[in-house]
Amino acid sequence: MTGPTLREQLRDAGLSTWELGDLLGIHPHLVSDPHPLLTGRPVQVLIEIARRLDIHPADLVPELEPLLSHRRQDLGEDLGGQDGRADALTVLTALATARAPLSADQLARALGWQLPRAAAAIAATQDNPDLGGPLALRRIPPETWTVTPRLDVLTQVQRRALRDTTGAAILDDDQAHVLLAALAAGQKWQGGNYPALRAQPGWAAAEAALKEAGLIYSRSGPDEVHVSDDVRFSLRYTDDDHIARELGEPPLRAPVVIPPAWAGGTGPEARE
Amino acid sequence: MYVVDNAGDDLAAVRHINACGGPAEHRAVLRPTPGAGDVLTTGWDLLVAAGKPPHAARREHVTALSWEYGQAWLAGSGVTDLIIDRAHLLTRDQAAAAAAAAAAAKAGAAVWLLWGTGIDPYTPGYDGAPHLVAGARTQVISLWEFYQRLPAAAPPLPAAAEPGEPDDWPPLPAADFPTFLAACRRYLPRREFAQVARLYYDTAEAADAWLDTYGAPRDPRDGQLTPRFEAATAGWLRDSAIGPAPCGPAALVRLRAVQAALFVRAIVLSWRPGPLGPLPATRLPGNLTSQVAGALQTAVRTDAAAATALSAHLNQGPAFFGLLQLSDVAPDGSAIRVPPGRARPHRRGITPGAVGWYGQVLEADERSWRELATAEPILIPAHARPLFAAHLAYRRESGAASTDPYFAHPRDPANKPATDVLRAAIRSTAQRIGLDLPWLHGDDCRYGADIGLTWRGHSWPGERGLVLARTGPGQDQTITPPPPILPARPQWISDGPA
Amino acid sequence: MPQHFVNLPGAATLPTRQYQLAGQIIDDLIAESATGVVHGPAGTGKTYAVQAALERLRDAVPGPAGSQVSVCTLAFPAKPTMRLVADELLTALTGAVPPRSRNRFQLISALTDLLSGPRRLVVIDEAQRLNGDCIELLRHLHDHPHTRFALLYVGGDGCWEVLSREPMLASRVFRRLPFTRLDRPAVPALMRLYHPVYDGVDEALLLEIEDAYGKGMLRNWAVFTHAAVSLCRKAGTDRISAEVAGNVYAKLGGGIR
Repeated sequence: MTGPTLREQLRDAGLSTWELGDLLGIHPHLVSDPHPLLTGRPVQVLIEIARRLDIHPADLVPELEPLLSHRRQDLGEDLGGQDGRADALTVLTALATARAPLSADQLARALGWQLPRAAAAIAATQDNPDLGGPLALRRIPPETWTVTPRLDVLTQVQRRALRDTTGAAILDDDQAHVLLAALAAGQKWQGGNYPALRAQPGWAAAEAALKEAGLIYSRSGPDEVHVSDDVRFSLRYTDDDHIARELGEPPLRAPVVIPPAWAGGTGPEARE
Repeated sequence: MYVVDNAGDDLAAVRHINACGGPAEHRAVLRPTPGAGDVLTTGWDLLVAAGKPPHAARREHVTALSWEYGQAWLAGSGVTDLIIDRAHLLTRDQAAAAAAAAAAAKAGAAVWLLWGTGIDPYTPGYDGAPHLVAGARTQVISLWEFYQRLPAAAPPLPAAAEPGEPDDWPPLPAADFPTFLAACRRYLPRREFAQVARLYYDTAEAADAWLDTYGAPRDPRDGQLTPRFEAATAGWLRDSAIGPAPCGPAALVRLRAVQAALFVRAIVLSWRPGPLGPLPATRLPGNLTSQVAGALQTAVRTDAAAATALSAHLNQGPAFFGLLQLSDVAPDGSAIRVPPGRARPHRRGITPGAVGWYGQVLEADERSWRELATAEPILIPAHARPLFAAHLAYRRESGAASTDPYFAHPRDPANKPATDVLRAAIRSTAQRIGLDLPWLHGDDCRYGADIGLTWRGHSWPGERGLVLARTGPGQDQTITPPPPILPARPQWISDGPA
Repeated sequence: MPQHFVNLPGAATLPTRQYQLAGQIIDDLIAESATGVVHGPAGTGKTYAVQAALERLRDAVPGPAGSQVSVCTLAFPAKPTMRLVADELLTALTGAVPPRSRNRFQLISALTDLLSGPRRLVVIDEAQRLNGDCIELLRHLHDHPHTRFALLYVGGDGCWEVLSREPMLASRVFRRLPFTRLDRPAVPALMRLYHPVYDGVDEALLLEIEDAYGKGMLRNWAVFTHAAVSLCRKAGTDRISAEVAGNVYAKLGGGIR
């Protein structure tokens, strides 16, 4: 909210400090906060406050702004007969919802329309490509229609990168095991027994998943793995030089410090 | 005790005491209800001075205990100065009761009686003279001296250890902890990354220090993380590492740093945000926020306020709260320490060692108990300490000994457990302040506090989707990653944003 | 505008200094949420002046949110108790009679709550009837850190003497306006503004009326003028003369007092 503080507006509307505090579920002393937290309040509280102040609810909770611009749902409403653009939008949404390309009569049947209306809507969609937003109407021969992403928004590089992206993944227990082993014994000079660990059940799949996600990689064969620079940086093994180079920034040199052993020493006494 | 000579009934004196602050500034101003000559009404005035809404005592059906609760809240807030306006209008009994309340609240607390009429020279045996208040000779001082000795409260200092609003933080990547910091470095502007990195490195270093202090987390016989370490970790996450974060984004950065610090010690702490609904990071900080503590301050019943606060802080119901003793609670309410060896009752109707669903119930009980009774104390956030200190003062003033229960049955403390009463009190208090505690939904509610989510169990980490793998990678003690380098953070972060 | 005494038609509002100050003082009290006293003998026009100022407040064009002032006017019977004052004030603020079961603490807490809301002006008329307890209650409400309202005491004979005996008021009175009798030399010019029946009338006659009946009191002039207008109408004249004045004297008590 801008302008007078919420407290001032509520006071001018006749709401006392205690009444406001009880309404918001906070101590009246906290009502002196110019912007008392409203987002966690029950809806009834927000309605009551908006009513008392004669203001729009989005002035109380800005996050409501985009939601309040949504169209009211009315299943009985039928705008199509009067508005070709509304029909075109309906067709685009239907095609995005459908699992397969649809013909005009399939669309008409699904939407409960007459065929001429469905055909006119498809024609209107073709005539108004901007209606589809990020999607474009495509004809799939001989006479079916679908929607696919537009080709004039992303670059080729972006499209390729998106195709290769597998989505944010959470490390599962097997993958954690493999990553730990890679850190501790992935390379021959570390003197560990990584090849023997690879024989464990589930290891191969976890290792493959980590490689696909780019957390580890092999250069000289499967019995040796390296942990990616991103992981080493995130786990505080290195600084950010590799990213700085990637971004074209000149890295700043920090003094290198020989890492001490763990402060507790190796194999500390059990606490219990 | 001081009598302040306000013979002129100066308006400036009123303005001064209005600027003296309240319980948050360790002061209380008692404004007696005009025309009320009874001690009971003055007790209600004392509750108002302690920061309670005027109707709260009536709402909670404790109007007859106003002095006891008022005194306890003064003690809980650490009030060192009780100012009584219009003291010349109080009866002797009213003045005596107010002075006694202040004395009981805190040893060494000062009582300032603003006397609005002329003060006659002291005459022995003259009942009602200001020199003889509650049977004790009192020092008379001028208004000017009063202003000097008790200046107006200073404005609160701005606190900001880390940015406290979600809008103060940039949008954070969804990457898991192995690549979180790298993703921040790659995809955030330098200034925003510096803000994230400072908190990340600070938290990771604090985690290193805690782990170094704790020592060995695993059972040498089977390499599993010990239940004690699991409970200690829950407490540390709750009280120090993640819980105190002021908002979701800050908590997420802290979590990723903690996960990274634990991982290089072969300890895997996973975060599964899927069941937490939209904006899962907002579920990470502790539930006993300053807003919740502030709302609980409006309660008069100290047991209801303290029990609700503890329940919110620990994310568990009051099943074991009856086992707390007065000696377990720090006098200032800053910590609670339950000795792990304290005997506890087991759930009725389920055989110890049962399996299946019953086994899960027993396991949940065991987890709750371990999180309550740990070797490390439960640390209470600063803004909630008065809640616990007030109830401690109330119990002590009621005659309870150090080994008596901290939470007692209000009507039959000697024979009846407090659990059911506490449950009802927590339920009504939480409802009144709009606090939705997950355990209040009952075992058959699969949706916790949100629609469409799965039941997560009653524990602090569980409520946040945090899982500490007791078995798994770290059991193989031959896999010991090297420690991170120190100092790890890039120099340009330490030097400040570009 | 407020009604003139005896509903005298054609009477104008006299822009005396006291009348103008009354409006300014009320504005000052509201701006500072302070306490003020308007007092003077009965018939000097203080009630009229205060009512005119309150009407101006009521009819003011709505300004920014928070600038509107609610006015609450109360008058009590002789020797009111503190409880009565609290009850009446609560009724005036809420429009509902408070239940008898409410104790003093609850009443005063409710009053504190209500007076912490929108800006208000509380006018206590016939304030000379209040005793120390009643003033203590109003002081308590006004001094409370959460309340914000202006408090105006309006009273007649002895009002200031009663109020000034209370030390608590002495340091709290922000504005005080005593209403006094009209200055004799100013009367003729004022009366020519007051009513058309005096328009162009000889100064000597007006001073004679002042000495015989007016005595510097606007109420007396209102009564005299009312009778004079009636007699002028019967006599078919629109202006008072010595003869008409003499007849008015006879109607109002037989001549010079």
